[in-house]
Amino acid sequence: MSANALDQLLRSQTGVWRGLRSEHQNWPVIPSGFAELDALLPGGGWPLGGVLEIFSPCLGIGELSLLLPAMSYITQTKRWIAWIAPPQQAYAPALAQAGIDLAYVLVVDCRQEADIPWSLEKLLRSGRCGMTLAWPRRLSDHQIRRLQLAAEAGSALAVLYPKQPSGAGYTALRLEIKPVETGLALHILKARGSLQRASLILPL
Amino acid sequence: MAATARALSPTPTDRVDTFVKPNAATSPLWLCAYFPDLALAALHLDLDQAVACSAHSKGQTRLYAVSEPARQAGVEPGMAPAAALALCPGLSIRNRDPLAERQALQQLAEIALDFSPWVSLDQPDCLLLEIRSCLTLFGGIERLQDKLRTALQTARHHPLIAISPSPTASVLLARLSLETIVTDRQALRSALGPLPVAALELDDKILHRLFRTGIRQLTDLWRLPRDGLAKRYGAVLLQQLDRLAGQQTQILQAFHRPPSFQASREMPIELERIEHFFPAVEQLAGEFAAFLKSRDATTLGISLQLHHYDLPATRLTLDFRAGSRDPKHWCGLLYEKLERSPLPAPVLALTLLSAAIIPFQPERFSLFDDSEQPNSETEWQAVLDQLQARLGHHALKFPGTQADHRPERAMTNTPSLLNANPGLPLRPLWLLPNPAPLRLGDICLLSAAERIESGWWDDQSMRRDYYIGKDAHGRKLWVYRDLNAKQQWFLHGLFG
Repeated sequence: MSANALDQLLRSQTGVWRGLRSEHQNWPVIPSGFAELDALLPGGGWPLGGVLEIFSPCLGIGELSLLLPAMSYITQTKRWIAWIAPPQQAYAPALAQAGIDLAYVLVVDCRQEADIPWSLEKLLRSGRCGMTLAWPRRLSDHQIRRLQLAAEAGSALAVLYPKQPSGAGYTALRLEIKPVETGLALHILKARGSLQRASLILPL
Repeated sequence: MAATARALSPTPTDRVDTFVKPNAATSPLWLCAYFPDLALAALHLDLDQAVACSAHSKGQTRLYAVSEPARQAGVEPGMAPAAALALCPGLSIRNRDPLAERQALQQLAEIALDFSPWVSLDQPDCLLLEIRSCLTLFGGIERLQDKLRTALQTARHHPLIAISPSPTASVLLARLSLETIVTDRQALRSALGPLPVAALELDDKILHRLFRTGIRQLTDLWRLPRDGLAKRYGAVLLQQLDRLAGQQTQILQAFHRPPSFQASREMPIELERIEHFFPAVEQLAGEFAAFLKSRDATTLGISLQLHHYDLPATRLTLDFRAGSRDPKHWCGLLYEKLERSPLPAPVLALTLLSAAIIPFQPERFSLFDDSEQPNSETEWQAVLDQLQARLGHHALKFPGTQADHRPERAMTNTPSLLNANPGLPLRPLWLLPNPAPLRLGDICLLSAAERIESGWWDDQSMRRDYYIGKDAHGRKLWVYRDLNAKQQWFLHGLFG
């Protein structure tokens, strides 16, 4: 089998993750606001047009603080941040303190779990929304795939805080965070365009 | 003095002209658009088929209007339905609906308002337009007539148009299918001359007497002396003649656009599937959008009623976040709502109603800033409308801040322009709506106390000492000690 045919075969299999595609790395990124994290992320920042999964053991350990500089950056470029069915009330004065322009913050209540991926997709595709945050209980692989495509179409960052890791993972970036004495320990489980599995501790 | 006057007005003959002309220019000119098939078209019947509608009069059912194919088969208005069916077996007969006719005529008047500011609906089956004032705008009578005819025909109504200085004469000419244009009052009498006397609205006795004296045409009447006519046949006849000749001023009611929109469609049969009755919804939405566009207006919401047999109508309501006049957007939202809410019964008819109608506000965008798409704001509002339509009216919140020291009251769900509380100590990203009682136990406090003591002027007074703490799970907490309630500790927020 020639290399070309092998390449085509691999391309036809959606389940095969090809880590070494970094030579085609051409998606836009936004700076995460932490220089040491940017150095580890492919492209040098959070991927715009991708799903970012963050596994966090519980609320309140810095899972949002990690994204605050990026959120502030997004509202400054006049794009919206949508919070879909947050588990607690997002506190506006704290967001304002972090430099986020509240004129571009939207909170969406979803009574039904099924409405969450639907709303996410609508908002991501709109192009006006720069980041969505969601805490879904369960998302199937194809739903995550759809979100990934919607995020690419709208050039937005879709942040998910899933309860448990799901299967194949079409996500652009997957992180696990844990609180430690000196701040927040962060493990990059998977990054599109990189084989590196790195860890670092951010002083949050 | 006399010399200057002469210099200003060149010749005496010209002066006469200027005296006559304004009079001719200001005297109204009435266009009558008569719709012979209004009764059939109002029922949305196909005029290319043999169709007719019937009405009750004097205890008998008689045909009121028939379509051209039916007429060719020998069916005439005034026939009994049985006789008509014998002549033309395929004839479909419906009951006349005067209300629908009125609505159809109003819709036509809407169109006519594009041509003249003065449209009158005083006649049951025709429109009267005063057109003298707008002739220059449309470039002459013939052009205006053509444009009006095209506009009315696109609404699937076929008018007969007559124009004269007298509204009564215009109506008479149009009803007699004489598409005449008479601009001058002097020429009107001779134009009306050959019309039969029977076309006048007179009772049969007078007509019979006129007929017996050998009067056949209007010319014959006009030759007779007025006082003699009045003596023999009464003042009614004279009044009619004067109105026809435009010698009696008539005041017609002007039609004004209603500020709301309502339109209905009846389904030919009971329809159950969305894709079967949805084209009618799209039609109604298109009509409403055209209605809004002609008024330079937008709507803040629409409501669709789906009527069922023997059950209350299903009502779907859409509220828009900003004024909208995009029928595709409405249809998208309605389709989604329909897909998600099963109907209790098949649909018999549809009604589309408008909510508040507000003036259209064009989108503002910067002259030099090309970074944003010009219509992206509208699209974003459309996305928000979609979310609101599916998730409910209060699902979308726009958090804002409010100038209050009490943490619960420092945030609102309405957007605010300014950061109302600058210079506060650090606030948590998550706030618990109800503070949870807490045992301090293994929580270590990281900050000094922040005393919040406020609200003595209303019922929500508080005295609290807030601290930032960290628990065994590594969570950063916002806790407080309630100084009013036995120094009890509470958890109020999480630093996410």
